[in-house]
Amino acid sequence: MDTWVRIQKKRVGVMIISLFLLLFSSSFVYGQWDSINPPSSFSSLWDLQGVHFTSATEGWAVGLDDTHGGGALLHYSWGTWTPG
Amino acid sequence: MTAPSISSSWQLFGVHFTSPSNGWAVGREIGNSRGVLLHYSGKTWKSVIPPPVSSYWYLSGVHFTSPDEGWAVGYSYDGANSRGALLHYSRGTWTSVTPPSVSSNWDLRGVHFTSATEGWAVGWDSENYNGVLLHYLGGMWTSVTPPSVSSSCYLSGVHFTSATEGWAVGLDNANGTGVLLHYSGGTWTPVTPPSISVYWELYGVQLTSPTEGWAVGQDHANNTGVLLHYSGGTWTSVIPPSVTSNWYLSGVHFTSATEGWAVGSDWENYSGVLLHFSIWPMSFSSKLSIKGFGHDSNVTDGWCHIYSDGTFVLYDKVIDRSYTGTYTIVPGGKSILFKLDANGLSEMQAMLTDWVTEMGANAGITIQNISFVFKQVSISKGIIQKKTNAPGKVTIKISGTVSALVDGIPKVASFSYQSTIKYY
Repeated sequence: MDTWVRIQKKRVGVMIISLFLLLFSSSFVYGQWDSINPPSSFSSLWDLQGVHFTSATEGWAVGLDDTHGGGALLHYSWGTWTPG
Repeated sequence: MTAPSISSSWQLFGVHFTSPSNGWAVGREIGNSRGVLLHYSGKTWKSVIPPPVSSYWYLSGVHFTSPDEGWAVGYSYDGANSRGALLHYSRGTWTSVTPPSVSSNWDLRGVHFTSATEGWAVGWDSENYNGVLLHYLGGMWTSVTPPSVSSSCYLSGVHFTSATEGWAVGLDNANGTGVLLHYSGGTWTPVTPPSISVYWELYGVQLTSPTEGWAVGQDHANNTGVLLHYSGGTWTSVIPPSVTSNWYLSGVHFTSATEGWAVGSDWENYSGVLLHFSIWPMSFSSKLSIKGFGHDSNVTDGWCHIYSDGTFVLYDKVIDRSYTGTYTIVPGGKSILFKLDANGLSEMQAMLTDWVTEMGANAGITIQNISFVFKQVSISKGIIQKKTNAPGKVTIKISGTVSALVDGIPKVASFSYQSTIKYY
């Protein structure tokens, strides 16, 4: 086979591999974001500003609970959010 | 548990825990024009009286490197000038620390430390329309000039994975986009953000490794939250789930690359927003048959997460029920066996009770005092997919008897329930 043809085939191969890596390795997200219902009857006027978890099963979110004129504290434990 | 009583009007902006039984939350006490410090020590939150800072000040961010060592940052106004507030916690005592000179109108919004001796704080210099970068090293704070991004640029969040690797995020107000600053090996460099809309910004950022992380914020043009994913050196926009017509995200925290939360505000319903990221989003296709009465089908969706201690939570988000249990991965790692625990079975009974009540109502029949007896419960093994580490399909089968008062008459019938849960 002609050397020039071999070089061109190699270049095309590199381009295909690069395109594959670009499409499937750098930006693909396997998981999914889901909107979770907050605890019912927590407050009628509130928001959340900060969140911190110590493990996948234990965490806190904080913000404003304007219905009660104070801060909002929500505790997550083993799949459930409850007012803290 | 109830929130501590502080004053008639206060709010929280930041929270950080060093363990499940030790954490701090910071914010603003509006009535007394000062910051709020709350300490959680395992069972209750207690308000801690902060040291004097100025005539008007509050706290926006907090970070601890151990239970004995931490920092909180915010805003302070002395009647003439505004500047960042810096509070240091060391072995039981909070102290106000004089910040370095930046300008006559600036504040701090985020803080992150990689050790007790090194950290960064970020904020807004409203006098010079620029971001604020403060570096703490060897017991001293110094102001670092941010790299040039535009004529109007501000910083709101910061996170480091090591002393030499980190990110700061914020707003490029001149171009109406989010700002991404990368710190690597001693130098801050602006990174071009992905295209989102004509006006958006970032509030929070968190990396689980130098090559994996998330940033959150607000798309002002479309009134939605912003989710950016960092993987392998590239930031990519991720379409957020549907929430309402007007909402945004302000905070994010991941415990691993596959498990995390983002929080924010829903301005349509004046409520908080909770978004959960998990690698196992599931669709639920369920069928309930009761002999002599009828059958009904239901399609919903939710997610499943397995934990490293051998437990799992299966969550049906449409009916808002969680089923817990234990799992084992069979030798060879090709499949996973699930078993509902007592709470999981109890929730299944509650779900089936609701379902039977609804079936009766749809048929014009009043069904009361519903009671299920499970004679056989089986969950077939799911084959673990190579790409996702999730089981492709899980099938739950329950059979037994159900007794109830049907239009006031006692009835007993056999039933069968089957739910096929697929990863998508």
